Amino acid sequence: MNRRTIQWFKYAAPENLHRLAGRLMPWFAVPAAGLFGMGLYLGLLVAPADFQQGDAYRVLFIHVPAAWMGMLLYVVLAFYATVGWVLNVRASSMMASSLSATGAMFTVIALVTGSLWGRPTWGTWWVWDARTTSTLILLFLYVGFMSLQSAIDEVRRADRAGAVLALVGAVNVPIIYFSVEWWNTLHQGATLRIADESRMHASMLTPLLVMIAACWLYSIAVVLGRLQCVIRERASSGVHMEAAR
Amino acid sequence: MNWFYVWIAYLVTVIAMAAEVLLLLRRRRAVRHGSDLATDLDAGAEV
Repeated sequence: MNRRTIQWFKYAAPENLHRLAGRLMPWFAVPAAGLFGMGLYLGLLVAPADFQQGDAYRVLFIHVPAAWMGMLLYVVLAFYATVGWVLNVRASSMMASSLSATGAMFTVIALVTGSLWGRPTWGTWWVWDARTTSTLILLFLYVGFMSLQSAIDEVRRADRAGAVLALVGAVNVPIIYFSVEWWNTLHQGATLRIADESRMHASMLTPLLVMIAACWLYSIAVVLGRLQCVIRERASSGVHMEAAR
Repeated sequence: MNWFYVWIAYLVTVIAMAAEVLLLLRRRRAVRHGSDLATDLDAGAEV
């Protein structure tokens, strides 16, 4: 085992992770604020209006990053919850708990902004098509995870129950992503493609990428801040000492 | 008229993010003042 590997294992201990989170948080929070400002300026003031949708398409600059973060944070949550459950790593379970509120918030933003975009372009606030319905299910999964964790008093048991729900719910993420290809839906196809070249013009693509980066950094900063709270709360209730006995 | 939906969308986003940050700051303050053991973490106490 080399020196670097040992360094990484060091952060599996909550007290070391607490210090690391505190040190890293400002390095993500400050650039996130700057990138949000830049993204809003480029998206609302610099990018041209769409020839079909006019200015209504500008909702995309927050809707797409929020929808991505909602899905991505759930995958990360399911990963950490599963690692915490299978390998009994306390820090992983704490990380999963810290991710849920931010993921739920981004999913709410994606649903609300999608509805506000749907009204002028589709003529309706809501349709029960595959993409919107599966995203609503994602929100229910987040709410279910948080409710389950807060409903069980014993933290280790709450972590295990949450991990089972997170793992089962992870099936929903590829369904959301591929729903526009698998089913004939009112929702448009993917705006950005992982393995394909984007069909957006650079003047619209740049603010979108800046806003995606801002949402990434914001999420990391907020999750690190919440992770510190979770570690402190569990430390003050003596959970680790109970679990160690 | 389209701008109306755009502004509402960004307003909702700002309110949601601000609420999350404020709730987090409140939680941090509550936890920080809640326990001597928790505050000892800053000094490197082992949990």
